[in-house]
Amino acid sequence: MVEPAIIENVRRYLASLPRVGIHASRAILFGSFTRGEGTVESDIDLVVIAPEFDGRRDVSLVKALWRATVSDDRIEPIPCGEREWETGDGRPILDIARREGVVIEAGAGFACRASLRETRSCRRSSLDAERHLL
Amino acid sequence: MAELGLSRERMDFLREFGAYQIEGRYPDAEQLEIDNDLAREELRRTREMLTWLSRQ
Repeated sequence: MVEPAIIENVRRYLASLPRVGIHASRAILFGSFTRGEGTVESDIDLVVIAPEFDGRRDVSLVKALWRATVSDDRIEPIPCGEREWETGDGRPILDIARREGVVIEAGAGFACRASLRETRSCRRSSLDAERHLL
Repeated sequence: MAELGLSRERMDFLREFGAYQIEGRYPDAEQLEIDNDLAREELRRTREMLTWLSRQ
């Protein structure tokens, strides 16, 4: 079970991103907080999925992603494109996030395991997502 | 950071610099591609920050 306060901080962070030109649909929380080992000093490992990160990544956008961590200094964002996440190509770190991560939808009131193929249903309706609530 | 009396600009700089630390933590993660001019500017800002910090 991920602490509700962590999910709330991540949601606030995602909600702040459009102001810096990043339109994240969701983020994948992974690492210590999904294993129940997180402390006040633990990093909040987060894959941030946004269309702006497909293709060659713009350095200024990645820096903006970090600058926006003012909502919680512990957030360590890793940028990921929408297509990159959906196709499953690329970096080993994304495989870890897929395996152990928790999907946090921008603006939604639920979270579910990234490893569940049904996570797409979370995006369709909160009713479906209820079945996958952590 | 609050105890240091960091300005908003310096706090933003420190936050932004996290973008370059992913390699250390996740060696197999991709790296940001930056050109020489940006690299020089980042080094200049880093030296300036270190100088400021050493005076606190």
